[in-house]
Amino acid sequence: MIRIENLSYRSLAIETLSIGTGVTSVIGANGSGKTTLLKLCAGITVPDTGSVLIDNREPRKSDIGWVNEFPDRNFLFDTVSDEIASTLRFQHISPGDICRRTEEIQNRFGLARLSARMVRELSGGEKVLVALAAAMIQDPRALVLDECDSHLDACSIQAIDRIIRQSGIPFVLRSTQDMELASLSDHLVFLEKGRILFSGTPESVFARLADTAFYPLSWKCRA
Amino acid sequence: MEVQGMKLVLDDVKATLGTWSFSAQGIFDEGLHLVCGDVGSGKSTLALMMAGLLPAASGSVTRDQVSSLMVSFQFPEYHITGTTVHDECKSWGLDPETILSSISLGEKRDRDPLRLSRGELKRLHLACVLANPYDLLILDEPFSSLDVNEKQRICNTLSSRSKGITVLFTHEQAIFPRVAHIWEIREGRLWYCGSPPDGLWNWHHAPPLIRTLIAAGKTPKNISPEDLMEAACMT
Amino acid sequence: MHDIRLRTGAATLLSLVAFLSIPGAIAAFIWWLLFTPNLHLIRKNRLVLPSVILIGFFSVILEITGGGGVSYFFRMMVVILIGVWLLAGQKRGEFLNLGCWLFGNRTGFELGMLAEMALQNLNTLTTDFDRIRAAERMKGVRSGVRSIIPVGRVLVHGTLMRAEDTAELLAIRGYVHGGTCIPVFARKKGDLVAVFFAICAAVIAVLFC
Repeated sequence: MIRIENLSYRSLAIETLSIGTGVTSVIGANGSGKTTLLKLCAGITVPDTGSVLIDNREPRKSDIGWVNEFPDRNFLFDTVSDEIASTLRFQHISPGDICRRTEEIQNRFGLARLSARMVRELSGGEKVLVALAAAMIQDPRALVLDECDSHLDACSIQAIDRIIRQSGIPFVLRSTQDMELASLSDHLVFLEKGRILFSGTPESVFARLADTAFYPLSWKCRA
Repeated sequence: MEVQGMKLVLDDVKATLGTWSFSAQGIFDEGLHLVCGDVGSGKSTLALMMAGLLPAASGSVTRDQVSSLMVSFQFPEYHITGTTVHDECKSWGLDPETILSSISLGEKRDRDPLRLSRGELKRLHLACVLANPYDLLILDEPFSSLDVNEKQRICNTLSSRSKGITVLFTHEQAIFPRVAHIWEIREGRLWYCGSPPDGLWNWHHAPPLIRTLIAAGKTPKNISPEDLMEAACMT
Repeated sequence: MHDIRLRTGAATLLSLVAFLSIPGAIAAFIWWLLFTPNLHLIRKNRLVLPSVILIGFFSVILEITGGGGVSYFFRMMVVILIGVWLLAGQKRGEFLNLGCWLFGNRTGFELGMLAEMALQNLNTLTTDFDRIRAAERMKGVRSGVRSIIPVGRVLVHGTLMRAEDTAELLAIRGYVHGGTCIPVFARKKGDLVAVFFAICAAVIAVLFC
């Protein structure tokens, strides 16, 4: 369980929130605090007061995978294989193990043929796959994605969603402006001006947002 | 068919970068053109070539009767010249009060535009760009960094744009303005799909909802959310 | 020159020799003419002209105030040409390999990675600069001294934003100090010949001093 208690950081204030395993989408208008919440859960920032615990451990003491919004800003190294292997290299793991694990994840993600390519020459969808592979190579406890789908077409989004769900990562926390994608989550959190307004299943949350632009268009068309 | 009046002509235009290549042929006349394609498919390169900011490797780009032109880049920071939000509006030749009140940024008029959030800066930039009547307006990923409310608002503004050639490059999948023409970039080439509703049949990578409606025999008249809902309600 | 170790060594030696004396600068210049793609490099690198202008400005001041400006200009130009050659031949990952080979997998890795990131940022700055100038032109802002400030602001802002993203990525990927790296170097036949003549140029410069 991800547990948040009495959290405050800048304009974000959350009294209590519990998130079970599975895929949780965080939605809301710009400036509502989505990125702030995700960065706190990833351990990139620490709260001014209160706590964030992932299975009773602080995020900075857990393995977390992180992918941010812009495909071109997610890279430290130039080649696909170097980028994917970066977490393992920083842990000073032996070259043989790095090679084996990098190859394994490249095969899983369908990136083997791109291994020696320069990341900046890839398509948007391929870049996000590389960033995801780099984030997932050390089997993180939680995967935190900050609108990383915002530069992808429908096919790429589906492919990446499939990879995430098959990964076995217990907690996937993502922010998105794609309400169709949000409607497929296990849990949904709606933020407004730094507060959680609604939290629960997509059906229950979207029912409260029926008259807003946040309600999925496909659901409106179904009705 | 000969197109009269203002137009942008791509005549066998080609671009290459390493192993990647791209070609485009077509005529863009007055109205709103939607150009779709995945990130990295060549949209930004084509946008730059259309504006004359990037030379094509071969072929030609001609702008007939186009006396004013603007390209809105995906990252609005590139366009910032003012040191305050107020001055930034003035740098576009616009009245700051009118612009800022339309996007609820009046209280931030004295702030440095580079200190606005991503969404606020994009809102400011698009408000300034769309307030000017350019003959040719090229928008490269205008929905990037916008939330659903803002996307809807921009789409309404775009739908009501009556003059000039507006070319909208986007990989957006849900919220669209009403468009006059649909193009898509796939397999390294620009394809003309046509005008809605017929053009929707030729749109290979149309968003899932549009494909679902077409498959159900409910082809929408256009692609705005209102058009899709109207089509969905058809019996 | 394919081996980054030889290339960096030769560049360091020739730059030093060129900076210290006119005979050294002449010897280094002749080496540059013989062993590098010379004019092609100058045409390809957009930073050469601004560097020439900057060096020229300081040379004029030096000449007016105390003399030696002409000598300074010639020597610095050769140093710049050597530097352009060093960077033009750079392939991704080379500085990381060089850093690890020189200083090991902790400090060397860190220095090498910093050098790679700096070069990456340089490329991004060039693209950003082009876009900013294009955006300014479309807005009707003419090139000139007045346009430098907004360009500079946006470039600095963009660099800081990217630095923040990079710092976050490094932190979340568990970077502490250094990493695993097995340096690999490529070499071609002509490399050693070019290095030999670079050493000769240095010896000649010392003899003529």
